[in-house]
Amino acid sequence: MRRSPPVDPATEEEIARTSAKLHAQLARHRQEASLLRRTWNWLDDRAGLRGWLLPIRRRRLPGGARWEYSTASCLLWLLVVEVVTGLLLMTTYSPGSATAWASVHYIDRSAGGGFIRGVHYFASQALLILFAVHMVRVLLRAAFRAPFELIWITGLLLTPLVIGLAVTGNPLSASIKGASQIEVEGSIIGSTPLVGPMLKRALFGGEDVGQLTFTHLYFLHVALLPLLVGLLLIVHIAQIYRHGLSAPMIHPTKGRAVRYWPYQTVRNMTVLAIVVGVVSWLAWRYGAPLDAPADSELPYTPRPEWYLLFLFELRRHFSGQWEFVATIILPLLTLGLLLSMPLIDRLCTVRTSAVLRVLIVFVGLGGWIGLTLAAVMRDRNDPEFAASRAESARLANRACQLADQNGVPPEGAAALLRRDPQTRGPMLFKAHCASCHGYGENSSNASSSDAATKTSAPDLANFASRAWLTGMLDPAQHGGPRYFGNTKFAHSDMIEALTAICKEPRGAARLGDAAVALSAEAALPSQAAADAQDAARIATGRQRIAGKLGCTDCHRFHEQGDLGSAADLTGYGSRDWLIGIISNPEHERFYGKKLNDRMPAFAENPQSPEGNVLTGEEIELLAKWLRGE
Amino acid sequence: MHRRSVLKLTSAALGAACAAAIGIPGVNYVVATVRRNRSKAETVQSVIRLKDLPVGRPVAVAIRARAQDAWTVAPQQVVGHVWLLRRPGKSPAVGPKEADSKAAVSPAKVPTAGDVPPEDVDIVEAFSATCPHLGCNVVYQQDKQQFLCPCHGGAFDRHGRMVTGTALGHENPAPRGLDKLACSVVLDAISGEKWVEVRYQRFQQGATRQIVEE
Repeated sequence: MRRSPPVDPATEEEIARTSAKLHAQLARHRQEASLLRRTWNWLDDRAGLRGWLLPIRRRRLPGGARWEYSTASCLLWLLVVEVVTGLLLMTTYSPGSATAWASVHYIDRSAGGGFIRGVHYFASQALLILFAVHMVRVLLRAAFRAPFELIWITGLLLTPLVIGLAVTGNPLSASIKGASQIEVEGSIIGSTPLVGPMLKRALFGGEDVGQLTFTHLYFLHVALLPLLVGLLLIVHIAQIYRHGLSAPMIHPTKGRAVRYWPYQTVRNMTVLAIVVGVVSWLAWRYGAPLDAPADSELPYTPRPEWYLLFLFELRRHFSGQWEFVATIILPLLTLGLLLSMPLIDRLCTVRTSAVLRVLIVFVGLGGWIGLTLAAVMRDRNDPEFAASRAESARLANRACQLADQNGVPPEGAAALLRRDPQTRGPMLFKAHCASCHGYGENSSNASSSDAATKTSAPDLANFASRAWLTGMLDPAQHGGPRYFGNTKFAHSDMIEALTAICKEPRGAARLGDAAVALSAEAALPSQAAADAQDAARIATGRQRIAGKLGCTDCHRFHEQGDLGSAADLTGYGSRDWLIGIISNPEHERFYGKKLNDRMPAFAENPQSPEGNVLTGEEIELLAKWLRGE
Repeated sequence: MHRRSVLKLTSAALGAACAAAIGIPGVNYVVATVRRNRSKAETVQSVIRLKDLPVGRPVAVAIRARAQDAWTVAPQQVVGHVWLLRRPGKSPAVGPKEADSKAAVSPAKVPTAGDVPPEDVDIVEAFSATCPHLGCNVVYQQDKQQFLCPCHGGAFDRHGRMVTGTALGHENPAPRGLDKLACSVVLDAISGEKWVEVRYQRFQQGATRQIVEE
């Protein structure tokens, strides 16, 4: 046991005095410090924050600061931007096929929402670009050499995750574009040998894109993939800090070593500010796109996002069962090659390795650019594709307009366009009516002489309008191609009657009044003002129809005339009248069994609607559209 | 200033600018969800034919209205329930139904207030079924002749007044009586039938006074 040396009482006293003085000084010093400093000290005493920040404060760059180092920091911050904007979007977004589109549209319409979504959308693309730049830089610098292999490997493993985040994020809006994209991507996954079908089912939560698909995509996008990215990043960044000082092994140390903060930070922040500036401007100026709500009944030509177009193009060169070579094997081989770069580099001479790395970058970038350009050019030279895109843009606008006006019905966003006469009318017309009836300019009646494409029934553009009826009551036009020229009414009693009327003095004027009165029966929204203005003329016309013109000899008009010999003129062209004639033209109110030419009954049996060609709702949509409602 | 300080300041400023570019719209976005206008709950509608309303026994009717829930708009959604109590008496307010008087086919056929003898009409009281305590729906108990809230035992008599005293067995948690709603008997211009019309409103819970919810 050691004894402490004897202490001089005087010295002891002196030490105690000095110690007390120092303590008082420290206490005074702390008292005088600002509140902020004191709070910091208080926290630091307990949490040891200075120690945590030390690696960042002391970090040094042996070769000096460089602009090219900025990609790493910028990527990290863009990831933070994605997390922050993503969390903000999560406060409102609602997955599910009925709600997703509506909630995204709602986000776009809320204050700041469109901007936040735009930033999330454009920053993700900036992130992908920077990711590629970062990888090319690291590859050319051979920064995967020992002891940096883990940084290289974790970075590479981030690639499929980052692409996965983009691929799972795009369809979340449940727009027709997103749903079509994920459908194709699901099929690509499904084409993987052996495990494909199972993986596809797991992703979709069933055979097709549906409710669970959006929940699954949402889970992948906001939970699983970010978690994996985070775990890899922890290793990635911890390794950078651990081996950061070994940088001279890779970078020539011409410059003197400088502190990271602020010499490198100022460069990082400048690059970040430019990227965030561009992203914010794009988000503010254009916002993220939103196509029409997904609906299998709407036409759409899907294409992947621009950064994945190369796979779309590559796939074209592998037919049939070999497609998975392009979509799965080649990307996996590329990833495998890059992953084994540290090993390959060790086996090669310095020169060979350099040539190989430059070659990889050239083939990779060249292939990507070439394939992307090929795909873009093909679509650009395809008028059908352009027309399809224009139609999609129109549908998207219409859906947003309807949602703005009336909100989204409880059944979901797809019902917006499904119940819209303007959207569904022309589609139903094309599918069920256009083989006989013409419609305005698109009518092949006027130009085509080919009998097969000739429309046989009246042109229904502006049906029941004054202009349409005036033409119909003109004996020269009645049997012409725009009206009944190609039907069995081409040489009917009606033409004789009209010709006879026109020979009478003022006969044509009377027919004009009749046309106006008949048109008023339809009560077309586009003619509401004109009808109100011409009330007197309409009253005269009505009298003429029932009186001098002798229409009611064959037609029924309100209380006069009988049904059965010609179409009922009461409510001619009204919604109810149109629904009636489309449902069953052989009804006695219209042509009856005897007179009807070839027009089929689209809803003959109201008792068993399942046997009808069109549902009541579809017929109503057609009628509304024909009337311009 | 030293070059290093300038660089530090520039770094911090650029970082802050980036944070502000996204942070300010972000905060605005979150705050906007709080500020956002709710759909107005007030609605005036005919709820039941007077002849279908029994005398002396409260009847609950549903109020249906266009309801907007974030992006979803339901045209006919139940937005609340109202208890109606009809009791004999003279009612002063009988007039033609507002909404239909415009759409009347012929003015001669519209029965005016004078056409209905006041003694034909009983008094109808209307209460919001929402308990003023914490907003559960009250139910009517025939045996006790009381409205009872199933959540915390708020109790009200047939006329919506708070029940107090030992008969209840516990303290009445309600801050006020059931919320009375403006109610009148109107004539339907087309059918000539008498209808009960209620002006439905929502009130804040927990307050001792009636405060209309904005």
